[in-house]
Amino acid sequence: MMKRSLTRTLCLMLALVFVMTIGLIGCGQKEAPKQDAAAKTEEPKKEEPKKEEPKKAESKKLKMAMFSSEQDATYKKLNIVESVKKAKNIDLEIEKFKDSTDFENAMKIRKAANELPDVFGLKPYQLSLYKDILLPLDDTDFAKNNLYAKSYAMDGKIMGVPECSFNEFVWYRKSVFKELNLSVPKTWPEFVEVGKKIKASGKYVPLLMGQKDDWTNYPFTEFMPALIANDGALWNKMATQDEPFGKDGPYYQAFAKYKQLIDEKVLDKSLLGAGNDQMKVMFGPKKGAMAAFGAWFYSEINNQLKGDFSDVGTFLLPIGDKAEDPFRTIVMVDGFWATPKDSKNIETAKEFLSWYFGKDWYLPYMKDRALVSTVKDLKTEIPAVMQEALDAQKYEAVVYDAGNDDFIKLQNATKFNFKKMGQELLLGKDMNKMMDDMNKAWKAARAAK
Amino acid sequence: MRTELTMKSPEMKLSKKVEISKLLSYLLLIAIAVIVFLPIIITLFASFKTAIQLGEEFPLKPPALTSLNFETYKTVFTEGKILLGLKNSLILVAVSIVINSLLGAMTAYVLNRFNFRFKKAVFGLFMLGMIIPTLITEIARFPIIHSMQVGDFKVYNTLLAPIIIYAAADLMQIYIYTQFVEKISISLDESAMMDGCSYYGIFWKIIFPLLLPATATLAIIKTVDILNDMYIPYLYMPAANLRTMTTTLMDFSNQRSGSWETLSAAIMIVMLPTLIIFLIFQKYIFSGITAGAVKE
Amino acid sequence: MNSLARQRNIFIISFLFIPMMLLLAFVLYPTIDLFRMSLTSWDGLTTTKEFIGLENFRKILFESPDVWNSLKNNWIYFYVHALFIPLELMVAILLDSKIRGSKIFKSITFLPYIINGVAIAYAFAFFYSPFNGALNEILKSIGMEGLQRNWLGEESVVNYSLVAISLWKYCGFHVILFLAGLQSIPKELIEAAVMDGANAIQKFLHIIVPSITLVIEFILFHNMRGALQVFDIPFVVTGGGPGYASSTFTVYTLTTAFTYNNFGMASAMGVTLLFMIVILSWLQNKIFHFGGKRL
Repeated sequence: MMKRSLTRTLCLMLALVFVMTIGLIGCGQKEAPKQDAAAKTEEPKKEEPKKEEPKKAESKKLKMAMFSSEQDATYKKLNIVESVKKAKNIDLEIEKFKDSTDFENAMKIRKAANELPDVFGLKPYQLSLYKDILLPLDDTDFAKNNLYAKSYAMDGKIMGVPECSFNEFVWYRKSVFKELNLSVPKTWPEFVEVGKKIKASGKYVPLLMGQKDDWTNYPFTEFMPALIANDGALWNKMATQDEPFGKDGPYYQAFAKYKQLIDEKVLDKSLLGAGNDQMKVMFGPKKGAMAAFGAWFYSEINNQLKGDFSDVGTFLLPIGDKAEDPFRTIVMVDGFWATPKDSKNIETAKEFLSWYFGKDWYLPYMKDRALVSTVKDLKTEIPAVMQEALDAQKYEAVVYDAGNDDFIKLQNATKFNFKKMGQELLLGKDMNKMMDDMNKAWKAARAAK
Repeated sequence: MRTELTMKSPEMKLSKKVEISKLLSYLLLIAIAVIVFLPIIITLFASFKTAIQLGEEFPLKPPALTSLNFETYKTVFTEGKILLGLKNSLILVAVSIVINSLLGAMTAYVLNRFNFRFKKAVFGLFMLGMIIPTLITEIARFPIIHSMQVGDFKVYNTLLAPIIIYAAADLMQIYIYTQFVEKISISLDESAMMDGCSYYGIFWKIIFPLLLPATATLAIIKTVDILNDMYIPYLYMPAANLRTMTTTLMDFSNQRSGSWETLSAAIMIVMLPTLIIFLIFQKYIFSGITAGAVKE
Repeated sequence: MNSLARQRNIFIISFLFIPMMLLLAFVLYPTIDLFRMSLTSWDGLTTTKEFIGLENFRKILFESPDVWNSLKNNWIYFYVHALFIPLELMVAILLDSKIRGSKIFKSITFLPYIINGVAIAYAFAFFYSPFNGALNEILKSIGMEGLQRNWLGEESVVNYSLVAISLWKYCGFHVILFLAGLQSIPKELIEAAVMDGANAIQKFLHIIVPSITLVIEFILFHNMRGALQVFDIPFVVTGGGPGYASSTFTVYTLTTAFTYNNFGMASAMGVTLLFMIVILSWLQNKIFHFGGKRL
């Protein structure tokens, strides 16, 4: 409080002295026009931004922050600002960030400055970071009606309400599989074999993974350990162990599998030189045969192939060694809407979110994004190209859970970064040494706590 | 005859030598030109191609004139709202130039003409402004900008935030102005004083107008700097309607949904304003840059 | 007299007030805050900042090989840039001679410095691509496939690929600085030397070099500061990867702050950077002025 009033006085003084300095031109009266010119320079500085504030007294204002460009595209297409204005008389101001990394960085700084937007969509792993400053939403209808909100509760309280769930797929070009006489793999060794054969053909990049952007390996480095452990909350379990990176642990086993792709040259170092934006565009012109991405890749292909999905197929990434092994797949729950408890517009925020999860907005929105609904009575259909994978394989869903506080503390202390570890594996680093180092660091960090 | 001959032959040798060194010089300069233009031309070509052409064609192959892909540019203007970015950038530039030239000239004048207590401390502060790694102090600077407000008007997330930061620490402007102030004879101040002019009068009526060339130089350099800055607008103005040219460009590079051909078009458009300014005002840019440097 | 002195003081204060306030609020205060934060274990989220003394600095010095590895990459920027100084000087001398078209070439040389850095970083990311990227395709088209590399994907190459972008951007700037230094040499001095029969090498050593030591000093200073603070090029082009192969000190600092939430440690790294800049500037100053006196 002190600081704020201090800076305010400072500002006023600044402005005052500024005007004085320029106004005090004493040298006869002739310089009157000059005085004007000088005074003008002061004006735009102070008044310009003021004009931007709308003067409608009745409407309610709400600031929202988001980063996903797919989300943004749909917002624009369905005109969220106008819809919410019409339905609830809320003036929505959207702040957009380039991607989740930038979003996280900006939010961290703004959290420290107590200047968060009124509503924002968090990734599941961000929930525990922000839980202290978020408003519990347990008493709201949209939280009660949500299928997953309860299972992501923090200390028993619902801090964020997820807007969608989606599956992870391997997208592939049917004609390439036909040409090389390949069939959809049902086990991990088969998957490696498919990759090898595509590589051997010399015509296609087997798996479009722009590893210059480290996150592109997430189906293997982030999800596979959880699948092997049959535990969506594997990170939390690892936080209770001293040496979770050992040979018999799921993390090590997942990386050992991932390493097979590298050893067999299905993935090679050239992938490290190109970003996702360069690699993914090779799917449309059929320079690449497969891409391991979530449902969000649908809209990308839609753009590249102008809506023609006849040559595109999907399958669930198999991780079992044998066909009889249980077939597990990750279900991601994402877009956790939350509101800070210090927000001045809490009621408006709740009103907005209950509108957002209502059928008038939610259904057309989910349909456009081709995602699966998280709201009890609102069903959405996913496009046939993805349904095909889900129908073809009997599977057990593992709902992916983000790490809790303990895990994140350990992660920060040891700088544990599975994405970078995946990159380094592709670079040819010694996996056993990597895991040993992690074990040591992990143990030390746990001891320090 | 004989003497003439002997005189002539070394001359011819010399001129041949000159020819060769000239040829080498041109080769070097042309090589530099090629290196400078290569990435720009490739990007220009890419901006007119489709994603499929980009994946298949030789990057230096010009796009076929009959099938130029203008979609990319259309996207940049419509979805990317690059003109909004241009507008915001220009407002920032205009206001910052006015403030910086005023503050720069005032500071340089006072520091050059007067001796006073704490002068060294003042110089020290300016030096500090120069050596501080700004990227890192942003962690500490951010909360200050945040807490600033006049009445109900908050500085954060308005155009005022970057303007204040641009005004705060910049030695370049003081260097340039100091050089010019030094050249103005003190007798001019003194005679004006005799005529009953106040210090303010001397500065505004006599000194500041004489500093016009320095102001022009500063204005152009500032324009280029501000148009090219990414970090400050990005951090302090997240609102979608406050994007500058450069932050608009960053939106196009989104890892998940960005496309290279549209990004290329955006790159070309974002390069344009500074390029035009450079071509028109080269002289000022060169003199300003060297003034700032040589002074040290 | 007394009233004049007062007027004078009021004038000085009123003119310096705003710049001083701005500097205090936005330069000095954040710097002090940086020092303060460097002594805490603040994670950027909690409201309390636990004081831990010099623990962060101890960790930087003794337990963070990654920090020093990043600093090695900064060194690459410094020495490669330094190696290019003779070439830059050569080009400047060339442009200073009465060669035809020197004005156009001067503009071309300087052009990259003016161009939007983010834009050009993106352009280079694609220039280096292993998949139909321009550089590899050009090498192929002139029959030099052997030189093809995975420019951004190999640990041993990636830093030099990034330094090349930095060279592309800043060499022209240095050339223009040299050119300004050369043009400030009085023409009579050179003519007199030529009359006295000085050859090109003598001319270079005894007239040109002494006149531009100031410029060389500035360029080295600029280079040192720039190299220690390289951020935008690795950040935009590779994000410090693959792994941490192209991470620099500043990239690593910001990762520590924003990815790993360790603002205390990041502040300590910021302070370390500040000290490095001050010490190296001072050293450089000493060396130059020692040499200067001897000459």
